[in-house]
Amino acid sequence: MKKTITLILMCTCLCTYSQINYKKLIRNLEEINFETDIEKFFKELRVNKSDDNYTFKDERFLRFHGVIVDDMKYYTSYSLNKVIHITPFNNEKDALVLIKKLTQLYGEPTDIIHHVLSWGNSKKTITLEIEKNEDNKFEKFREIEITLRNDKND
Amino acid sequence: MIKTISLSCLFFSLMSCNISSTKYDLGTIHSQNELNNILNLMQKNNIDVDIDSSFYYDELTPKGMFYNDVPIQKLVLHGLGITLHTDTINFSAKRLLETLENDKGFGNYKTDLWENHTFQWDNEQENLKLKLELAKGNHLANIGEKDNATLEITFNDSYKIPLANIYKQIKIEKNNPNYILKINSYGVYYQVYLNNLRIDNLYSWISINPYILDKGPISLKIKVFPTEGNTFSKEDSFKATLVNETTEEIVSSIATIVKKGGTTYLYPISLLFDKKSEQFEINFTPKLNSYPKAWSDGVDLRKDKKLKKKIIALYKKIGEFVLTKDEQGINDLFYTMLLEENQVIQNTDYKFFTENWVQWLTNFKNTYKYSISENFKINFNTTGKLIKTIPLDKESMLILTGKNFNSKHNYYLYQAQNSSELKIIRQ
Repeated sequence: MKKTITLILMCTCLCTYSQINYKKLIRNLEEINFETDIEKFFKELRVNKSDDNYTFKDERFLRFHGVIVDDMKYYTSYSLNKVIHITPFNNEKDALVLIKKLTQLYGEPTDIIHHVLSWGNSKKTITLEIEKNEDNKFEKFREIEITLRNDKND
Repeated sequence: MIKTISLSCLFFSLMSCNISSTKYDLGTIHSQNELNNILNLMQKNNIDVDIDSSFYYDELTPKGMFYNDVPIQKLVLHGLGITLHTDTINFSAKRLLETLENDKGFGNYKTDLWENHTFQWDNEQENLKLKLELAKGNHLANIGEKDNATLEITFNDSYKIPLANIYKQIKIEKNNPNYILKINSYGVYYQVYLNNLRIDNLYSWISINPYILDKGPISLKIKVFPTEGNTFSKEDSFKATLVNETTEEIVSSIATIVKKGGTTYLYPISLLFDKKSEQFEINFTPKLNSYPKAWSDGVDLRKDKKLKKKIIALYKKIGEFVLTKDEQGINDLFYTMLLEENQVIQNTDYKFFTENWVQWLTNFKNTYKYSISENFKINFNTTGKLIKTIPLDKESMLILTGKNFNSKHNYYLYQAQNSSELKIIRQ
């Protein structure tokens, strides 16, 4: 009798816990490389597909090096590279975290043009554009773009 | 150890019991009847408040309202359903979003110009739209204590007539090809023929599957004419591609006419300026998993002397069914056609079938007379079993007319071997 009650209660517990594990669904965009199957990467989530373009907008599940981002677009460029376009939030703290993290990983950035920083290697290039005010202080993010290349062609 | 597990399980069970003992569980409402039952209960428990379910935008705030286990502060009746408002404490907005996602999966997520976040879930019973009102400066990713949410629930009318419920009969077959003829054109008009029968093309995407009865080969012919003048001009362009939408593969690039001096060419290329028309034809072998019966058991109608009378009789039957609001009559006339047409493209969208039936109800409501073409040309397919008529004296074979209302009807018809009447088989 005791055993039966315990079993029934155990089942009740299991049912209570059969819920979405939100933490497990977070996608870290820095893990995407040229070979990544983007539909598999976003499996279990609702990624929008139009031709070869993918968009995902639910910020609850998007991170780039630990920073929450608003949305992402993924497409194949004319030069057949894969491109990830990220819209971050206009937060100076996030910008500083990303610059520090990317510099740790890839070394000092190349300052392509004014306020456009670039990091990368033969497989990927990360471009971060920041708008600054007259006092040279962070005003807002313009964009983050990751270009992924097929290293085998290099 | 067992004791500890039993105790913790007992605790969770008691929690569940507590949840199920809530007074008004609004998560159980999926129709106007179910709403009325809860409103009656509310009225019984709150005698001094007048609850009128027919009054639009009536706001109700009795204690003890929950959506599943999430407390609801306010319920608003809006005629087509209800809107539920959470409070801003106890993470209610976050809990409401998560209880819906756990119950129904991830909804269709959108943000509007004012950065409101909305999630939508639709099914044949109801449409649910959750709108999050986040505290100033907060992001969805950090949704928490001070955020608010409204859940708008709209009940869908359900119809018992089989014609509105065909989506339940559609069988899904994996990897079944969906052949679509895609056309891009400028300055020209065109006619599409499948096995010699002209296919109506209101749009530049033409679904081919409904017209395929066997492995073929199928003849697909396109005639192209200039819209202005007698001959094509150098500005005119036309491109037709047959694709399998399931695999996104191009089956055939049928025709490409490009501007004079253009640099992008696809096979076959025809530069035909100064010509009056052009014709392209391919034969292709379809690979559908199964083929509809359609008009395959039909009789050759080319020598039927009573054919014109039979055609008029059929359209008269539709007109009379509409005037007498005969739902079963319309259902019987159109059921096979609608089932076959949607089975071959595996359309299980309940909205399509509901809207189609609502259109017939609109016809019933608005029509006070109908007119039928008596002067028309009959087109036959290659076997003579399938016909389509082209009215010469009216805009359509059958026109239903009402006050500021008209509805035009013209269908593909055939006659089964065991019958003396025509049947509608495609539209």
